[in-house]
Amino acid sequence: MADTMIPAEEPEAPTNRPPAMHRLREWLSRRYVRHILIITVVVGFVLLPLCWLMLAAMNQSGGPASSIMQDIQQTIFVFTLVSIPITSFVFAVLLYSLFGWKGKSGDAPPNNDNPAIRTNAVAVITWTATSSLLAGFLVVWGLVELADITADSYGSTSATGQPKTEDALIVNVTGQQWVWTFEYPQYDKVATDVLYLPKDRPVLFNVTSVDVIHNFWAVELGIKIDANPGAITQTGVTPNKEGTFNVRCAELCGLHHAYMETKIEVLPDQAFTTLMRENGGGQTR
Amino acid sequence: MKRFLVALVSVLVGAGVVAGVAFFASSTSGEPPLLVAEPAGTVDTPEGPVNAANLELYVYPNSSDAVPGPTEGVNALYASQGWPFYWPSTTLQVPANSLVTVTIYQYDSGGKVFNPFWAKVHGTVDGTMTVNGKTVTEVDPTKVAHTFTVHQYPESGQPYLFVSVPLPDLGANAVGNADPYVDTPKEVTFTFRTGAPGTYVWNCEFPCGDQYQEFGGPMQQRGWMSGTLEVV
Repeated sequence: MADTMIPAEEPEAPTNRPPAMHRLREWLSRRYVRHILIITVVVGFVLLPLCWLMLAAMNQSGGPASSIMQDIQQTIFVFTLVSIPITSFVFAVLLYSLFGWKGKSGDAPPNNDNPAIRTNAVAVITWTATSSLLAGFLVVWGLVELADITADSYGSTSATGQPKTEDALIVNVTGQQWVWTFEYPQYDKVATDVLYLPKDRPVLFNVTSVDVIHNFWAVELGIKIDANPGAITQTGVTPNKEGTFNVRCAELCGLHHAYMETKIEVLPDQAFTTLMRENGGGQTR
Repeated sequence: MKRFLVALVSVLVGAGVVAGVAFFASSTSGEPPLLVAEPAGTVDTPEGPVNAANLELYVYPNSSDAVPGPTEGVNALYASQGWPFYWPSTTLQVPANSLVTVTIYQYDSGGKVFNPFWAKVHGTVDGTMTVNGKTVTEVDPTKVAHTFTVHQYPESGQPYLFVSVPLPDLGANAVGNADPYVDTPKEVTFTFRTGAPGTYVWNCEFPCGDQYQEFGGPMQQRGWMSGTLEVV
């Protein structure tokens, strides 16, 4: 058996590369790096108020009026906050590229013989790890919140379609070009064009349509579900704030789709019962 | 100079295309002429005297020589479709903070309304209307011809307004070919109160059109079974 010749490893060539920290300091001392980092911080601080402005805009109509909507707003806030550093850095590089390296009139054309850009392992690892961590955080946050919202918005058991709790209010919602109507089967089928709800009582919505597809969107309550002709879809919520809120259609449904909206009145439980009684509905729950 | 001319021509061509599209859209919008409610003096109410106004509308089963139907813009293309329509207009204007009495002469047949909510009277004074002089709060949901339903327009600051009355079926035999129209329409009268100025939309909630579930055609077209109500 012939001896296998294993080539001996060549000794590493002597190098004069400085240590990593030294290289980092050297990199940070470069003019363009400093400028891009400064622009990143400035843009970041400029964008930061967006987190609160968005919530303020969403709450102009009085919301949030349920824990579901509170969860949704919290998620939007966190996602916006997390995205600001990345957005700021991208804008900083963009702005510096546009203005910092802008050629002047009379400049010679770029030299095509400049050295090629080489891979920078530190940079690649840094941005990959950072992006993965951020994306992973958003995925985990999103899944946890989604599970939480889903649990809150399904007021019925999946097997029977009946409410999970005995005191739940059932509202049959019908979408029709271009008006919403609401029927209360527990109150002698009182029917209204305004959605009246009691505060702090679970509500189960049975949603349908008699013509085309609509979408029942209780804006400040944070629930939205399709209204399909010939089918019943279910969603649920527990309003936790009294006030006047909005129902809109969120599915393009014809000429007056943009006007297919109505009010939600969230009332104290006793006031709600009184209102139903005044409309001919005796409480049967 | 050549570059300047090319840019100028490009801008002019672009502006011409935009202007052409705008002109086409404007000329074919089919928005019917404004129908203003007639002032009718004042009415004494528990809250004091209130201005009153009257509005008169007709509902026909289809266009005829006697009443050709809406012809504005694109509506002229639909004249031969046999669509029902409100006449003389679907663009209505009524005074603010007033009692508005609407009289509708209904000449069409009908059937069962999908949602019984529309067989009831909503949003009128006392929650009633009169049909051929008889006061009612609802009609038979299997004999509804059309509805006149005013609802909210998503503009902030204007008061909520929701009015809906069912127009009873005339009966297919009574309608016949409807040309000329019968002499004995259903006469529906109701009164509602307006608040501060605002703009609303209204439409028929009885499926009297074509296409899916009969909610297409005239149901989707102003000048026929949909319109606007301006409170000024």
